[in-house]
Amino acid sequence: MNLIKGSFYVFYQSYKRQYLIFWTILLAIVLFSIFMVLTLVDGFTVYLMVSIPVYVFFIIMGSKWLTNTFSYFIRFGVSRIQYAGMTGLFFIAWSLVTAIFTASLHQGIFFINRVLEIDYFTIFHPMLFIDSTLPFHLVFLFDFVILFFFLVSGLLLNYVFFQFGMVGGYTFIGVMAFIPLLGIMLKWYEPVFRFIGDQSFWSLCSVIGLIGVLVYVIVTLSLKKLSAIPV
Amino acid sequence: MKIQVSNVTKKYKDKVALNNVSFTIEGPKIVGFLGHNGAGKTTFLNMLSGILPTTNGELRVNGMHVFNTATVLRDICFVAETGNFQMEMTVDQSLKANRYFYPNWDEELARKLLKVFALPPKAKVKSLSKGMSSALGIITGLASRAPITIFDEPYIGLDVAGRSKFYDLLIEEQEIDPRLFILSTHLIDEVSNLFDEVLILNEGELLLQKDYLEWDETILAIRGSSEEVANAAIGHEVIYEQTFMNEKMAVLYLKNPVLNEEVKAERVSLQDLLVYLSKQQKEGYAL
Repeated sequence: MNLIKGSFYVFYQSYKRQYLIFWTILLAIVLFSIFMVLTLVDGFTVYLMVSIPVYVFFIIMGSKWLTNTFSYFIRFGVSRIQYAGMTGLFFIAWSLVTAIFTASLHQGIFFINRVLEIDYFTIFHPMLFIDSTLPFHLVFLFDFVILFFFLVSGLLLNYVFFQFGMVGGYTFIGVMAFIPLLGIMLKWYEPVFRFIGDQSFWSLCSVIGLIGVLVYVIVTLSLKKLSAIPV
Repeated sequence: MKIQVSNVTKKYKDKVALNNVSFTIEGPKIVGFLGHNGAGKTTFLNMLSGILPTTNGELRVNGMHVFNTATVLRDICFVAETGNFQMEMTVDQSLKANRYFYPNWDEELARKLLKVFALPPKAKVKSLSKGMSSALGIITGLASRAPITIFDEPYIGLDVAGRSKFYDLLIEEQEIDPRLFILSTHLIDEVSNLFDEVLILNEGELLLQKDYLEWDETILAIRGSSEEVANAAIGHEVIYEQTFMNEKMAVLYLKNPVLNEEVKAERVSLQDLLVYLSKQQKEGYAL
């Protein structure tokens, strides 16, 4: 129990500042956008997306995780499996808290729009493809799964750089970037998007969640003999 | 506390950092872990603290493998030159974090040492000077009360007053709560009197392991003509030799207390020996 408390304490204190700065800037943009809408002349519509920057932020945080924390915790006498366990729990907690906040923010913006009768301020969320009313519980669930997935994806990227150095890391990025290009060349992006669009919300979330968990398990197993000093 | 190193080798892509090293260290005591730059000291200490796996061989503490064994690793506190703390955390938070991970953490001692080294508790680690970071590392090592406490160059940037405080605290802590301290340092003259035992690595191999009290009886430098020195060295191990003008000097590891020839023998300090070994290493590279 001490390990979990200790790890949460360290993760929280280490990442608190970046997290606060990120949200301060994002909320400032949202407030400024609302202000612009209220003060500018008619016919000007503002479209905003809050979730995508949060996803990008999380993938960046994940991509520095191992480098910033792995050696530190190993020196404390934490085993690699314990470290993976602590990190996984924190990823889940962080995704949960952020998903609640993001979903609440969406609801808050809708509320402001209704109260101030703003028609020309639209907030987007990927869930719009599934339910245009953006209910709180679905936005929360979707963001929770996606945020966890992006944290884990960032962690995987960090692991590749950590273990294989710059050459291995950038080769990995190159391969990942090539796959969608290949999809365009072979024209299988259309059936892929159609397939995704045909899926229910629950099956989509389950699949993304499962992929996230699977990737996390792969990273955990790969950590077992990993040197805590990067290549 | 017993550390058993059996035929440990550590290879990197193009370099052998440690080559088939074997020794045993038993505590409590203060051990000087010494060697020239690149001798393999930090590599070994990283393996002992679970940061690196060995390539071959076994590293055990009290009979148990070290790597990935949490029950062993939590009894080891490793204070490295750098990277001991999270940059965004304050001094206070860093010490608080230690509480969760070191089972014997002494909060009272940590707070007392914070005042001794005059560290600002609310300052972030990233804003600390090198000397202050070293002081924080020293506080962590001492207050951890870990049965094996390792300091790898613990006083980078620390002024002479700070280093003197550290030596006094080390002796004091060893009196109050004896443990196995392993100290790797280049400031040998300052700290050699603290050592109970000395291990010297040279080019990835163990050169010698000696109780420090026996040092003067075991390591000697002799001077004379080439023939005189060669004769005197029979039966002993030559650690280093050099010829200047017509005089040869050899540093011997005496296998028995008797020197066969009448040669001029002089004491070799620990510092001097490390200087000779470093010169030898550089000359080797030059060749």
